[in-house]
Amino acid sequence: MLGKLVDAVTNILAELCGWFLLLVMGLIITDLISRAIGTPIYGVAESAMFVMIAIVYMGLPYAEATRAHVRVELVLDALPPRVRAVFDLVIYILVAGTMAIALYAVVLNAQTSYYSRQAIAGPTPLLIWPVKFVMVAALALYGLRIVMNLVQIASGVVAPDRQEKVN
Amino acid sequence: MDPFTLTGIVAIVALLGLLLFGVHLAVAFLLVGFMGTLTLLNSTAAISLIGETMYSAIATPTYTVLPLFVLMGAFAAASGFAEQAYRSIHQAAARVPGSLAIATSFGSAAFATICGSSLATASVFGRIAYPEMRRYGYDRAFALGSIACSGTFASMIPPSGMFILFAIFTETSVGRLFMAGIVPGVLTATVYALSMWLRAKRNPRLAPISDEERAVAPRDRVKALGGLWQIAILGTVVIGGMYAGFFTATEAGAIGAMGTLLFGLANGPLRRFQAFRGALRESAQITATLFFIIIGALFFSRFLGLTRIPYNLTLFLESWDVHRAVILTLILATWFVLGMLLVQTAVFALTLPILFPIVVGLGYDPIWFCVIAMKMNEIAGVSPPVGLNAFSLAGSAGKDVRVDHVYRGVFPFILCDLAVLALLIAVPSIVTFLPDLMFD
Amino acid sequence: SFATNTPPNNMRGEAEQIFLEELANASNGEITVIPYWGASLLEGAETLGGVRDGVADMGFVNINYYPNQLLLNSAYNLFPKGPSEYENIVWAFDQMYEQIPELDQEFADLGQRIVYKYGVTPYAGTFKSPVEELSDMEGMRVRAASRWYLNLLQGIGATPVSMPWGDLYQALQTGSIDGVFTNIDGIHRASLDEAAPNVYFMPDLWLAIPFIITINENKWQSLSDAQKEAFATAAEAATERFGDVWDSTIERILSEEEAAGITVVTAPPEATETFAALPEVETNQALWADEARSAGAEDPEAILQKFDDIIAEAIDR
Ligand code: NA
Ligand code: NA
Repeated sequence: MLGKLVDAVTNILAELCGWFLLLVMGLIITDLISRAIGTPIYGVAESAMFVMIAIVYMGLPYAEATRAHVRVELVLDALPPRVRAVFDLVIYILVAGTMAIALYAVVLNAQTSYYSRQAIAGPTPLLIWPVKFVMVAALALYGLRIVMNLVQIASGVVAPDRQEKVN
Repeated sequence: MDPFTLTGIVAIVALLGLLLFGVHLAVAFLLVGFMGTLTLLNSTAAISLIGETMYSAIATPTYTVLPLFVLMGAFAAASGFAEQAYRSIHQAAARVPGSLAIATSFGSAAFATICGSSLATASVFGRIAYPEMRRYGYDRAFALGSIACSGTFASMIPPSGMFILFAIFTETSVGRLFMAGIVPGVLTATVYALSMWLRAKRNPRLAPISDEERAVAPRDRVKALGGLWQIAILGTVVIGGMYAGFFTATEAGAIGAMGTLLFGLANGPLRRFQAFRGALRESAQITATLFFIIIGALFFSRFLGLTRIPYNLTLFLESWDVHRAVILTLILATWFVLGMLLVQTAVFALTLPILFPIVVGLGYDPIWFCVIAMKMNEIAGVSPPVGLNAFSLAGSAGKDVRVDHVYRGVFPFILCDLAVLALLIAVPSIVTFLPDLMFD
Repeated sequence: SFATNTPPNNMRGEAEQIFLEELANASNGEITVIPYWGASLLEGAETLGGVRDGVADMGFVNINYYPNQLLLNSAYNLFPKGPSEYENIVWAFDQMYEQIPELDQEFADLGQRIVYKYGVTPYAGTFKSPVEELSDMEGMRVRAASRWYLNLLQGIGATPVSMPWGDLYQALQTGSIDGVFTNIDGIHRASLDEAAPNVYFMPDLWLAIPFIITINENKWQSLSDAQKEAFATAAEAATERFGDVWDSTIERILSEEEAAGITVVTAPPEATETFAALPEVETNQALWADEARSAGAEDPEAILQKFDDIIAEAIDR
């Protein structure tokens, strides 16, 4: 149930990221044209940057779901399946732990940013906290995704036969 | 040894260990960097630094250049441009020994002017060129080797996602790097084509000439090249626009993506909503994974900066009384070995921020050095056991193709790469004259 | 440790290096600072938080990077005309922090205190086509960094443009902008005067904000009284030394530019008067006062008045 929901949200976010990319493209072209005709619009490049940051974090859960994150499986592939599963488990515990720390750090950072009304320097002092809270939400979903993978791998290690059947 | 240096060395060893045992690249950077900062400072500082870096590492308006060129590449791949390039050049090269392989080399180079991803190029040509070459009885290793290696042109010939990454790690200008890659990229494609021709001529069993090819008239050749007009327009607008200075690299990315989208819609393929959405999702995924690596790498290099190892290493190398060529050779050898074992992004994210200032301090041209690094990056992409281009090709070329089939065919091309590399080192102006012409 | 975004080999690097040297002198070698140059540890906009959390013990702070967090400190930007002698510039900086405790309080709220302030060179514009007087800028697309200066440029009839620092050289070369308005050593350091070889130098238009080095408050409290005293001594000695560098740098830049065939026009005092009398100066101040009030400042107008008085006094010194 939870799995299905997370899957759905992950896919929606990935799709949204794609449309956001088109938005970034549009923003940059708007910036270029507006400057060329002598009526520059302020904050367009900065807005494009904010959208880009949102894309990066919102795309992470999808990249995890499709196992697109870059890793070296050279050694893992050489191991017998049982040992490999244990290794995979350890790796995912490390990944989950690291991302938990990162999530905690970004939560603190976003909070500070909100209370201090942190803004970017430039013609229009755009507030930064909204994009930082997008980061928090996306990282939380990414964390959930990792925990789900972790559970799946763990069940594979504990009861390899059942895992076999599921596959 | 002081505790800072010791922490740094332990961290580097731990990082390599984690990478080899399959921890995600970005996560390994973050984890080791965090533990290291924790050791050197305290938990408040470490949490603060990682939390801030997660945002600020990518909060630079100029970085929007990367997703834009990724988007352009995805649209190009989905729009049938690779097929167009391949067929046109094959027609034009008919009856030349090894014509299909030569079409792969120059076709990849042409496609590289609108696509910045080696992996995408290798996988697209794996789908188009491999079945074709097998149909005409080409040797399997020869065919696969030529596709995997030609795919790397996408990184050397602009636009190039990898050059953008290099620019981020070395703080050099994306525009200059793009200009610098053109000649070495075309040169490599030419050397490849020459070697293919020579090998096919000496050993016709590698690449038999088909009857269809014998029927191609000179007029057909010219007409076939005309089929490249869309790619020519897109490539000229993007590269030429940057060269002439009509727009910055970021703006070129936006315009290129827009142009590719329009051609893709006009030609048909992108009108299928599924294909269009697929291209969008793919770009988002690549953007996310690449930037996540950038975030991790920058955090790790901040930690490494804290240990002052890069600083001390610079001092040492500056005072080390050997010819600078020795140091350059050492660096190339390190890259070669790391490039065999690791994913390229890991190799260069780990080493470029540290090595770059040293090499520039030794008096080498910064842009030239990035192109040399790119040449090593191309080799690393196809060298066993970890060669991403080979993986991506094996995944796309069909069920009967295994990675080791690809590896069997890459060696002659790596020799070509090394020859080009030697030439670039011997005559640096091959690299630097175009960017210099552009800016001075 | 000390984090800064400048490399050691330019004018700003020199200013900071002199301070670190004087600090070692004044403490008889007791205080040694490990510098992290060129944003290798913290970016410009991260230093405030980094010093607060102890990532670095000391850091370089550019007030303009923190439009809301250092809103009161940013009031410097509202006064385009200022003293043109380095000694008087620093005097004005010192007076403001002495007379307006709210300025220091903004730093105290972020867990740090100021240990050194220095100033950089005055404003200049560098343009693609000749600029002999202010009115020549009319209709030109000119880039400036702060929102306050963009408003002023609008006031003299230019089209103000905002653009990342790193894109400027190419943007000038390609003509997507016609000029850049910033401090003259910034222009020269980034070779912008090469891409747009018409420099309009305004020696009386000071770069009003002090460039600041802060120290983490806890670190400060852990120092002995003698060590704290060393910081004050070092600041004084460094200011003295940097004053000479400041004068000679401007001379050197101007002569290098002339030697390179760049047209350099030095603005007469009247041009500065025109600039200072722009109605945008007042609207800027009113806008700032509104924002400061909504951010909780009690009497922003009083702060502005003090700024005005001190700067006037500094100019007359
Ligand atoms: Na390319
Ligand atoms: Na490799």
